[in-house]
Amino acid sequence: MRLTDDAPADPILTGKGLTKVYASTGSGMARKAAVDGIDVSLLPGECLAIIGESGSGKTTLSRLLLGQLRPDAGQVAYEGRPVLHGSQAAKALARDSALVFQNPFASLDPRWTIGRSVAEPLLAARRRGSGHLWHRRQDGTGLADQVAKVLSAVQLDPDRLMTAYPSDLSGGQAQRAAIARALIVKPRILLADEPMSAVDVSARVGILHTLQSIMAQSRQQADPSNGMSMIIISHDLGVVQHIADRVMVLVRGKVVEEGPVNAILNHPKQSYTRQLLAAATL
Amino acid sequence: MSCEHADRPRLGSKAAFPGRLGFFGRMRVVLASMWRKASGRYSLIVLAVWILVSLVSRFWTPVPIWTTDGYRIWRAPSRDHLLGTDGTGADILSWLMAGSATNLAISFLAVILSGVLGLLLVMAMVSHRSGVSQTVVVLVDALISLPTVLLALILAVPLGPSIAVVVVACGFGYGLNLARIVRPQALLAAESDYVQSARHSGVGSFRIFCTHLVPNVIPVLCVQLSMSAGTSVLAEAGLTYLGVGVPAGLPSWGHSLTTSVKFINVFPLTVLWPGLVVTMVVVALNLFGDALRDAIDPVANPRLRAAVAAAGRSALRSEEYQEASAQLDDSDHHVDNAIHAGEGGNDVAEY
Repeated sequence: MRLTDDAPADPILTGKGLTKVYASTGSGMARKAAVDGIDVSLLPGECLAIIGESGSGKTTLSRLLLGQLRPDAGQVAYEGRPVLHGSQAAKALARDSALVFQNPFASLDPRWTIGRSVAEPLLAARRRGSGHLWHRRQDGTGLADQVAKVLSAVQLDPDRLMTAYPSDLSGGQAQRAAIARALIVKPRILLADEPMSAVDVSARVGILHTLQSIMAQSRQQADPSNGMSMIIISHDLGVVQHIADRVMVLVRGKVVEEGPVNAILNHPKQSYTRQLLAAATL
Repeated sequence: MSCEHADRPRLGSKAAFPGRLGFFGRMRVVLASMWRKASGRYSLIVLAVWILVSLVSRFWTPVPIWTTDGYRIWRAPSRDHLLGTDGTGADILSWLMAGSATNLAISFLAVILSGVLGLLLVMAMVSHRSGVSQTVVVLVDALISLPTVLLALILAVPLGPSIAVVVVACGFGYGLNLARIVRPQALLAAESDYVQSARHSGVGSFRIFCTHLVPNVIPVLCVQLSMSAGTSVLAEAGLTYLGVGVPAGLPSWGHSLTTSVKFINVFPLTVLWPGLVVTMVVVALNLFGDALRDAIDPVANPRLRAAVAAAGRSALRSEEYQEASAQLDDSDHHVDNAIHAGEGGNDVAEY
């Protein structure tokens, strides 16, 4: 753990016995549990990496944790409050969390400028905060300024890229724009679902540095309990080693190993984790 | 919460968010892009002439349309009658000019009706409420089997031959077709990551439909609506020929064809002129759709992207923006407060 406070903080997000079963497409086939009774917790300011082979349930677990999918069994709690459909906790979780997807070009509307895409969550947040029609008229104030700042924070040139379209950007730039879109509302939880798997190696380094600096800034806050937490799903163990505090290894919907990043990557106990590490070093 | 918004420095709408090209600026770029292609030029010229002639014909025609000359029937083109006369001795050119207004109104109204109906159906068809979407899909599949002509005949029973029959029959039929064709594209957009992100951010279903889905189906929409306009011109001619379209006494291209087609073997020119006009207009409408699709879509039109970027850069350099930006640096905490404001009202979309 790279968290600085000595006293263990209360988890910001927990999942108990999370299970999700998808309906089988073939007749006579058994229904498959994508996530099978998983317990998980996320501390404030912590970066949790979820690793595992394709189809191991990483994405399903992360969607369950952010309330995007309803679990068939188990419960998610945000700041100790159960996240039920339509509840205040569910609304608060949606408000305080943001997503970064695998394919940067699919996560930005191809017919919107980068500035407009990045501003969208902020505009939505402002609409929520100003229910009265009179104040909704002022929704647009200062948006460009905020967008420029967050684009600069992810090492993008706002003057050049704010009015560009996604098709004008490289994969790395588009992914950083997608990260900026997620960061503009200053989320407490950032879910990054394989954010580097669809970009080339040089772009990966840039994105990794961006995510590292965001986490570093978050950890430097006066009150660590307000820092941003991150759930990162990745196949790239190098990325995980650089950014994560804790690693959770999934195999067929179950957690086979969990612990601090150095312990898991340097001294894996499970044979599956050893195989994963061996495959990564090929 | 609201007071914090009120305290924040205000920017003009353009400076508040650079990169949004105004409607007229966007249209200028779109029209210029269309003009660069021969097909776009042809369609723009024909459509401009059509609209101009429709307007002029309300006030002036070479010969008043109700003026007939029994001694000059089925005349070949001459100085007095540039396209000749029909079986009643009426001037064909004047009737075609007067008919252009009727056909323009029918095409316009049919396109509006089919566009609105089609988009409403698409909205229901991509709804996340599977009961609604599946019911509407089945309903559209069932209704699409109803021929436009049959619908017009049914409508003509209570209404009699009228423009409304043509507009409703065409608008309804083309709206169903539009919904069926646009649905896959809209579904792709609805299930995309950017819509998922927007939904997670609390953007409502209707706003997502208007701001994400509609812009992403506009290329298909342009082609379909222009084809609907062209087909409605043909449908007007067909329905008028069947006696359920434009009523007798109201000039239309279909009418000009209907009154002359019986004598096509003897006086082919009287059929040729309205037929030529209908063909030219339908071809122009089809080409207009293709040209508009390529010009209006920022993904396909680099000129539009460049214009948006240029507008944005000039807005960012504007004094108004720079001054307000400096003021906003001092009021950052207002934004933070706004982000975490309002416990309720996160419009979690059930799209």
